[in-house]
Amino acid sequence: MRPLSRIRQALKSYFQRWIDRRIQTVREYHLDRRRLYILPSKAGLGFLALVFALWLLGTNFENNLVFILCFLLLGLFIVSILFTHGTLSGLRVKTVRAESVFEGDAATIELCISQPKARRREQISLCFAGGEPLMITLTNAGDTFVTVLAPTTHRGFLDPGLLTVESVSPVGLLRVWSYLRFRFNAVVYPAPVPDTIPTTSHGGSSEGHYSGTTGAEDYAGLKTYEVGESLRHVAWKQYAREQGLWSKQYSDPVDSRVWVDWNNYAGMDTEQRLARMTWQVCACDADGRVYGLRLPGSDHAPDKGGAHRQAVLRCLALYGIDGAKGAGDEAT
Amino acid sequence: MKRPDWQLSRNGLFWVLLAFIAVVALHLDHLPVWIVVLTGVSVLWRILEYRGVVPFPPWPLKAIFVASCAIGLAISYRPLLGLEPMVAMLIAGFGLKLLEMHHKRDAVVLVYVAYFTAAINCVFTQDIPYFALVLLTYVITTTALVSINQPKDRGFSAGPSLIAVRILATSLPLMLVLFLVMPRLGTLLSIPVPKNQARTGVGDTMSPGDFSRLVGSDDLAFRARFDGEIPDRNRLYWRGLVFSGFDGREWSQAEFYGQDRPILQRGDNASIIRLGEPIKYTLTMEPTYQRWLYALSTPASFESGIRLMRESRLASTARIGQRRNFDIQSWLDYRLEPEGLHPYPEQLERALPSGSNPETVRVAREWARETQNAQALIQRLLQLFNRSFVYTLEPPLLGTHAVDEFLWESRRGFCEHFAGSFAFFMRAAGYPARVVVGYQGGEIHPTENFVTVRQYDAHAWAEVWIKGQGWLRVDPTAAVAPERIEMSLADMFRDEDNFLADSPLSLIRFRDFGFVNWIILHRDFLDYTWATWVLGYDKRQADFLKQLLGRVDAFRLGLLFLAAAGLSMLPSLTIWLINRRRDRPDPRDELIHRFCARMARAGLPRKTGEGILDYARRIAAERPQLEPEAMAIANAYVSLRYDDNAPVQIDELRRLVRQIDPAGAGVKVR
Repeated sequence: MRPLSRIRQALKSYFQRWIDRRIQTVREYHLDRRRLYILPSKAGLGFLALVFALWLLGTNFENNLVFILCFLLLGLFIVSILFTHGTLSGLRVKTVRAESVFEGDAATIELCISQPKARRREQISLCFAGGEPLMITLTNAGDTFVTVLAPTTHRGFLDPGLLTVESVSPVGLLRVWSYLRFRFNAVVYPAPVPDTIPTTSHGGSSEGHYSGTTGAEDYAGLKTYEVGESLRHVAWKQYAREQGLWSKQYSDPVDSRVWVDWNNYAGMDTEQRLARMTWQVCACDADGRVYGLRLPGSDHAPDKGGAHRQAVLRCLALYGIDGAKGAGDEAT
Repeated sequence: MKRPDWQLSRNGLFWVLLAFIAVVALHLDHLPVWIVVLTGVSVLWRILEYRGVVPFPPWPLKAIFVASCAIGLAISYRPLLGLEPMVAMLIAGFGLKLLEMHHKRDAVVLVYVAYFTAAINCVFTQDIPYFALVLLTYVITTTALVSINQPKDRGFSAGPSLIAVRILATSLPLMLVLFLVMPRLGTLLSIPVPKNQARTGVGDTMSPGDFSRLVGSDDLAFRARFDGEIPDRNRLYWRGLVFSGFDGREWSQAEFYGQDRPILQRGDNASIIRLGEPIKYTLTMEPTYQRWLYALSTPASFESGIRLMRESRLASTARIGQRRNFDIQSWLDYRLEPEGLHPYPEQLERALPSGSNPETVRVAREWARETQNAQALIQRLLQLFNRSFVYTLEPPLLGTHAVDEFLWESRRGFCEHFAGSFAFFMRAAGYPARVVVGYQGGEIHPTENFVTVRQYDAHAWAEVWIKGQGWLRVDPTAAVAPERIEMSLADMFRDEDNFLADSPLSLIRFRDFGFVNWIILHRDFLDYTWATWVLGYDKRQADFLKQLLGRVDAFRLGLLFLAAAGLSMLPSLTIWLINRRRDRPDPRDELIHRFCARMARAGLPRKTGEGILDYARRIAAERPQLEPEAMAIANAYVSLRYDDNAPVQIDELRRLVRQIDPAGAGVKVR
């Protein structure tokens, strides 16, 4: 059993390398002969067995009518290669947008699938490696937007692996599929790990003990809710009265400006540090504190709000990764 | 990995149920009643289950179902090997599986079973209407296959059947070529051929009353297509079996002539002398589930598995369980065993059961003394038949001494009475004699060269052996009712009650109407073409392919397949060609695409969603030397595309795009 699974593993990784080499990342994929693969499905193999059984029946009873039926089904199998291929052939697939997520959460990736002419294409499955397949049916000409979830396993630029676009429509005897690979500017943040190590206070001393409620004590009033603000501060009472979405404002105590500092996590490896710092950033943001980030080689001045949080988390996600660009380079 | 779409949709369920019902309907005549009831119950249960009225059957109930089905099959079929038990088993299994069919997977398996079970029906019957029903079942089953693979949210619709028909229609040319060229291997395993319980036809014994029963049926017995002229009706004696044994009431085959003993080897001409030229014909037999063939005397056939028996008849080594074709030659002029009989059959063919029909024996001996030779004796007996006997479909019942009662009392009878009593009389007079059964005449098609023989053409006649002349055919029926031989029985007995008693709606009853006759003749012709070109294609395959291709080789077969593929794709190809013209992008867009592609090669690709003017501005910013051209192109495009009275022509844009040199200094210098 062991050697067998090792061989399987080897084959799998060989296949992966081959696919990686074969599939060049492009902006938009046009599914045509060169990109589509087609082979009998399990049901198709069963169907061939049925054809063979019919052939045996016809041969044994020297019955030409059974032969007619046998060859009719064989013909059906052969022409369904064309029909099944036609389900995907001619489609164009590109990414529209992807949201940054924490490691371990599913990334939502919006794709645009377009077909030149109005045509019913049923049961097209879109699936990132390890994710849940999404079944769609196309009817209209032009663009169709769909959202596919992809699991994330490591921080850095979002790389959900190969997108498998496949279909067995209309008869289920053959499976036509294509592997697509996309590059994203969205990132996967490190998975936050809670800890009790204090933040460095603004002055640089580590005396200001962080407490979960500091900075949220002095209620200052209401302000229109903005996307990205902590849900903890949403004024739910007002929302329930259908007065709109407001967020509660608290006045910041002077000493609430803190640093989330790499150097506070001595004795841990990079990933452990990043995970804890991520938690710290989230906690600070949730409490509405003003916080900055210190990483070896880069500092982020203290600030607050959704954009700041995103920029800081992006820095954490891309720490030590080649090709890391500055935040806000290109909105994808 | 669990897929989100494993569940069978409502539409899928509907079509699978319909396919199942169609398959059961096809096999209705060879299924025991309990299986039909079971299938009805399971379909109903599955529907109620779907609607939430009844729960899924719990496992003990399912186990009871399975066990009772197994017991039922074991009781209904003995032995369990063969096609009919297989069909019953498949259908019972299908019905049980229906109850727990929730996955698409299960439904797909059931669809395959439906395909297979429907195909088995072609082994049972090969008539055109039945085959049309099988094809209809295939359309329904394919629809089921399509609907299983459709999204679950689709409600009931006929949509999948359109797709199914389209796919099946596309595969027809391929099917045709495969059918024409695929070699046939011949029987591999011997599985018992289905036995038909209630098949009418000539049996392997004959007692009074047997033949008048056959007259009730207009079922097809066989057809014969002649290569040349069709002989006169009165020479069309289709010889089936020869009965030498007589026990006083029933005529039967002699033990010696057991079916497994071909007495004549091919080319053994000692006992059969053939005179003149043979006539050639192809016999298309309906399944009789018996071994013997019906051929004109004296026949010969070079088919494998066909043997010539000593009594100048043909027999097949296997039972004829399906419609089959046989190529036969017959010499209508012949001498059969003229010089002497084999001692054992001679003893049989002279034998008289002791004490049987004493009056006939007495008269026969008396007449034999009074006449000089056999010919005179035969003439005298036939004259007696002619003068005072009645040929009728409703002969009175006869007792122990059947021949005595018939010859000297009732004097009313059908062909078997005449043939049997004649043979008995001749034996009593000292001549070897026997009865031959088969068919006489048949319906000669007015335009096509074939004869259709139906069950009501069944006939019995006698043969007498005279030294020097061999076996002579004597048909006493012809002496009583010459018109029986001259015209067909259908014309003779149309008004009698017994005729076609089993087929009250037979078209033959209404032949007087011109169009009914037309239908019958064309149906016959269609049926015959079907039998020779479809059912019997294996025999013609080699000739036909040679005729079609000139020579049969891989290249030409390949061409044939290509032609079929072309034919399959003709509709889609036409549509594609028409659409391709329509799909050509706008020429303005095309020019801009070319421009973008050239810029991309120069390292400055256009971004997703970037407007052309923005792009031009970016180009201007990054490559200042390209600014005038890029802006000119963008402006020209925008005005061409969005301004109805554009100040520029498309040629201007074309010129600009052609002239820009993204890599160099702006404009190409030639």
